Amino acid sequence: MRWIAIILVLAVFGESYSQIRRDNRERLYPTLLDKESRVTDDQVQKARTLFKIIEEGIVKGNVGKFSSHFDRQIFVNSTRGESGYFSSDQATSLLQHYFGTRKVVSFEFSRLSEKGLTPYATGRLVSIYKGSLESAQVYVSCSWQSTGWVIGQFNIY
Amino acid sequence: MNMRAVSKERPGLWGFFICLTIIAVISLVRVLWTQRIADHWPEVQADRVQRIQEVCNRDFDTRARGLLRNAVSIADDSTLFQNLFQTDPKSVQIAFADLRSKRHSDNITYEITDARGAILCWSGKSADSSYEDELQTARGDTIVSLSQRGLYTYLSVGLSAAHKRAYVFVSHPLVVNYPISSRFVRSTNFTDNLRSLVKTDFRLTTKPESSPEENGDYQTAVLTDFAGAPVGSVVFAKPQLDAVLQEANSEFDRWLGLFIGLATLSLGWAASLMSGRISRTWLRPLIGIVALWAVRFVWISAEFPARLVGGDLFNPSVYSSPFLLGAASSLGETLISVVFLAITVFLSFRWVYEWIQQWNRQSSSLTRASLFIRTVAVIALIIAVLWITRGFGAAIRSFVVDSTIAFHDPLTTLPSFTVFIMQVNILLLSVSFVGFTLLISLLLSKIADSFSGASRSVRLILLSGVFFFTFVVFQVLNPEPIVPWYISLFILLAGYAVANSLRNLTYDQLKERVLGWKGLTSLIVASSLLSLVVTDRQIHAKEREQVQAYAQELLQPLDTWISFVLSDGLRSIVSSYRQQPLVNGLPNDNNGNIGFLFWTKTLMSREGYNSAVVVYNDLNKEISSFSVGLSTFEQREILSKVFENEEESVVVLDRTSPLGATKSYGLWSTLRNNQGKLLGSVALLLSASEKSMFGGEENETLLSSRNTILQNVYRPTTVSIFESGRLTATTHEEFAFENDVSQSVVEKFAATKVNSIWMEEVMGGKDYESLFARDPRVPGTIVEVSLESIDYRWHIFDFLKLLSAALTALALLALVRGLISLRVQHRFALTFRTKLLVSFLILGFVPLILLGYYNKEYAAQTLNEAMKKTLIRDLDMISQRILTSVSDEEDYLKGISNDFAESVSSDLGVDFTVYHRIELQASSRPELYEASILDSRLPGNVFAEVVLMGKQFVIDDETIGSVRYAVGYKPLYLQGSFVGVLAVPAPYHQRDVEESLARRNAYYAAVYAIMIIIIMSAGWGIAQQLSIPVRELTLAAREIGKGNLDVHVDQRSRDEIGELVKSFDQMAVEIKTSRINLAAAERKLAWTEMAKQVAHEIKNPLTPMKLSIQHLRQAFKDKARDLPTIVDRTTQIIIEQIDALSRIAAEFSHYARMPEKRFERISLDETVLECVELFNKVKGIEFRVKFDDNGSQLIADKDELRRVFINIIRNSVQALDRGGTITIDSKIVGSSCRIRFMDSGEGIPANLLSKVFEPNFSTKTDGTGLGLAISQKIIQELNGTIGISSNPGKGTTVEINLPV
Repeated sequence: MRWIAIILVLAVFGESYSQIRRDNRERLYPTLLDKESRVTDDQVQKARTLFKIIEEGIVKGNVGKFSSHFDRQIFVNSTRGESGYFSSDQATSLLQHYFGTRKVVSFEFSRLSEKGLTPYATGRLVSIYKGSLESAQVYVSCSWQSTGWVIGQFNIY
Repeated sequence: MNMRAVSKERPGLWGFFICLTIIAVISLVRVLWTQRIADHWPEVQADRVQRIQEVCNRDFDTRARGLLRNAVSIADDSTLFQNLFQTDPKSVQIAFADLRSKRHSDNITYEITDARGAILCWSGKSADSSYEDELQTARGDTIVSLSQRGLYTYLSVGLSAAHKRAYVFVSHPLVVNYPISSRFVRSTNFTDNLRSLVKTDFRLTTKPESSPEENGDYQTAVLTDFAGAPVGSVVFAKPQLDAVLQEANSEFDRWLGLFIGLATLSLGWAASLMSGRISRTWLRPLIGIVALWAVRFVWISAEFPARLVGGDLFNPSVYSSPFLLGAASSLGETLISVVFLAITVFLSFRWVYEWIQQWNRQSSSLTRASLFIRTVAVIALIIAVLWITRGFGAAIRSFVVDSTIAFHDPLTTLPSFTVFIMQVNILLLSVSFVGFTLLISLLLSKIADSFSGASRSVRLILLSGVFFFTFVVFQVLNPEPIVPWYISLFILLAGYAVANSLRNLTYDQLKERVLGWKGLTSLIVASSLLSLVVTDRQIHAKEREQVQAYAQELLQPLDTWISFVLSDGLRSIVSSYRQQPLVNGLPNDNNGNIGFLFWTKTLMSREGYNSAVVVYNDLNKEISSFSVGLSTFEQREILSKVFENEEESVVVLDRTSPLGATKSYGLWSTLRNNQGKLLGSVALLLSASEKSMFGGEENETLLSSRNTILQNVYRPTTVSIFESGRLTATTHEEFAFENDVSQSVVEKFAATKVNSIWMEEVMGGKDYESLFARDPRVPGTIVEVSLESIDYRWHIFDFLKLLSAALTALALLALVRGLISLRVQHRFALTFRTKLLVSFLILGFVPLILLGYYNKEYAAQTLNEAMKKTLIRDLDMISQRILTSVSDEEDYLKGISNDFAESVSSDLGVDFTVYHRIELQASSRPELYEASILDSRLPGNVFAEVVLMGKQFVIDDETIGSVRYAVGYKPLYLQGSFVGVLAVPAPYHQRDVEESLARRNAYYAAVYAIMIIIIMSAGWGIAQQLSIPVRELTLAAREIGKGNLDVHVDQRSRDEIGELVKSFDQMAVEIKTSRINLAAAERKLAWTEMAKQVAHEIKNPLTPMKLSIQHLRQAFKDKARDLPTIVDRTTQIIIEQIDALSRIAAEFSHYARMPEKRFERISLDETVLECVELFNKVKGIEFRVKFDDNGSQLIADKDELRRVFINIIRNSVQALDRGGTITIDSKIVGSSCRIRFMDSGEGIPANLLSKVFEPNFSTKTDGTGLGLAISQKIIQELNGTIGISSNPGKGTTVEINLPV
């Protein structure tokens, strides 16, 4: 046990040193922004499809239908008070929790803006929460990653 | 059946059945209850409505009475009123100070009025401008009123005082009137209480309703004063059946969850105990593990204990992961899961050891098939270790990425509750990981060792080959490793090496080593270090992801969202205005009320954006505006752009300047009535930039309330913008403009076509890691976001916080073990070394805690001093500007306007407010006063000190929302006359204190960490130095106690302990010497005793021999007729005695001990007679013998008994030197035989009688003194007794009792 602790201490210092090293090292990350600046028709169609999926998911209260399209960091705002950036997994849990405590009566995206680099859709959500009818506005926006559209913002207010 | 095992399981089974019964009862009650509610809904609804009304009234009444108590305490203070009614300023100032000292909450306002309602003295925000109306309508001495003022509706309670010369009003905000962001307002308890109670919207009205408003689904609760008169009402929606049923079901579900959880726990416990009956011992721990996780998953599905506990512990916004079907759905669930995992590791050890023992019992012949299987097993186990390592990395990554926990918050010294729990989770997970790795490595080592038939080196080479082959294959198939390959390899090799060293231990030995204090401490420290390494990497990775997302936001800001906010806001305003009654136009509104009201209806206010609403009439004249966080200049700039575009078209204004970069948005629309007539227009403006990052002093509280993606990135961040390769804007203080972007970045962008690059660079002498990102839509624009590298001090600081979790765990463990020890052993035992170490730790930590406390105080004091100097400087600067701009009071009143204030503020970079007397005159932030976010009345104590007492500088606290900050005040004099008060805020105060404290903490913590390590090491060393000699002394003392005198303790020092050791050694030597001497003396004595005894024993046979020969000689001389018989008998006696002599000689010559006893059944009477015959020829002595008719026999050594009888008879014969009688009789008494030897001698004096049985005591000159002592010994060995009694002059009796 003793010598394992010593080795681990060495590992810690080695690790810490690696984080404060002075040499310049360049790291390449995947493309942050797509170099294409205009949205193609195919992308517009994909955006519409995605919003359709989201709409269906919200109507059924099934977050899993569209959670795979969440960005790695997604801004979530809900009437439960959560507001901020969350990981895709955490956002999935939050929204599952939200829809799990509500019975969706109706939902439809009434306004769609699928053209542009950050298409969005908004609609009114009517649900029953603790027996009372509740109305909220849902706003969802997406952005284009190299693999397709990802949901970057999901607001319920 | 094993009854003892059954008794152990019984509590578990009983627990299960009891819980099951309770569950059934709850379910039944639920069905009946909900049925009852549904069947009697109208009555239930009416009852609920009544209860809500009662609660509203009770809550209101409680608050009012609380305020009344405060009013009474003020009214009773006659000194305060005496001072208040004085004319000298000092007395009045004392009254103000007195009133302020009574106010213990920021939310409460105290106001003292005269009899007409004019305010004389106040402390707190103004709840009402005057209380004239309330006093006029008052019906008694107490007044309760509701008044709407700005953002709040206030509850005021008034009480007459000072013989009705004055009134005391105590006010408290009851309700926030607008649903605006919490940045600006603090939620009130009344609101929260009602919302949790009613669970729907409600509305508070200040108009007392004389009759309830019955409007379909709405009901009213009338709020009354103490006399029962209505003062206001609360309108709320009637409870609906579905809502009530859902609420009831939810409550039942909570309790059901509790008992389901307890039932499964009881059943699982019983099942694991019952597994003890299974014959296959290796199966028992496995059943325990299965039962454990069955309980876990039932708990997850029953949401136990999440439903009961709640809070941040079970809030998914703190931490949540979809891992393992909800086992990590929150912080609390994860905690339970890792505890279960740790128990699983413990049980798994048992299971594996049982299995290994099974394997050991089986034959170990190595066939080809078993060789193949073992090789596959080795590969599988290696993969298992690597897979578990990956899983561990993934779990830690989830803890970091899927949480909003601030792991490295530098502003806190002690970790917050959520951070602490997460650290416990990480620690337990690390311990479990180490445990599992060790377990698998043990298996691996065992299997590897079983490859017999080859030499050790060949085995090692083959094994290494398999290891590395499997490792490489795993890495190839694992393209995205979560844990770096070298860490995986290290864990694999280290695990195997450790397992190899522990392999031959038994389960109990392993448990002792691992769960002993040393093992446990090593395990926890090693796990902490391992988890720190892995967690640090993940935090670093997350920070980089956040920076990337931030850069993306900077380059592609969320225009769509902002556009939506504006459009939605406009729609809300337009649609709400259309609902108003028809009007011909918008009223002339100089108060900004309409602008504010419009602003509160938008999403901008709810989201807390820096925004503005400007309202125009049909002639395009601005009639009202409200803004927060936008200067007039900015508003004008955006408005000019907005109106260049079409109606309802969002405009984006993007400005980059050396002072900062801003992005603003706006749109406008017409306002029409239902007939479509143009009434006016409205413009909405919004700023989404974070001005504080780009220099300039911005009030922190007016920033966007939206959480930025860099919220939990605590490293200093610098943002720079390059246009066409040239630096155009930066937050870095030292950067010079016109600097170029690094050439390597440009080349990289050109060569690789990527849009972001990470680089490490040194700027201003500090290390940074920077992300360069570009926007392909705007060629030439590059954004650089740089994170300052954290130095070792922050690492140590963070490690100390992590260690605090580990130390807390150890301390709890120590406490539990101590309590167990106390219970079992009835004593709480701490070794000397532990006590010493704990003492050193306390000595080390106490100063740390004290220093932490004083550090905070000192930091606050230092910053207060600095802030005071800054405020004085700013106040002087602004007051000079003001006083040089106006000439007299009239000029002051006209010239010092909001525009003037804004202009000066913009020039000097400092916000300020000017009061005329006690009322607001002008401000560079007028919107805050218009919206009643800030009070437009001068604070009471400031009035007293500055206006009344003429103090030149006063600091007071102010609050916006939950942010507290300091404000400096200074009087303004024109031509020697007082005209007003100047106020300057210091908005960074709180944050500055925290940041300064954080830096100090990190700096000192690093130093203290080193000191603590030194103290602990020194403590450990000293404890060792002191305790080792003590321990050695203890062991040596034990050895001496056992008789080993050859112990020696090394003298390691020359101090007191060394002296003690030296003395101990000397003592041991002396004891040894004296023991040797004593042994020699004892031996000598023993030899002497032996010689005496031998002499005595030899004498015994010689006496009868002599007597027999004398008897024979006499018989020969007398020519006795029975001479042949006498010869025969005499020779027989002589031969026997010679045999006895030779036996004694033989024993003595061989072993120097008395002859061994020969036990045989003998007749006591006959033995006595034989002895008597030896002496019956002695002249002058008559023997009278009378034996019991029954005779007596016992098992004894005949020679010994004969010696005893001969000895006694001889003594009697010797005592009768002038002749006499010796009477011998025997009698059976109970289970003993009593033999008495009575002589008629002179007897033994009483003083000598008690000594006759003592060895070496003899009254005869030739006596050895051993006869009676030996006789007593012989009789006692036969479990008999011998006693002697004597009558001097008459004779002596020896009585022997022997069991027969």
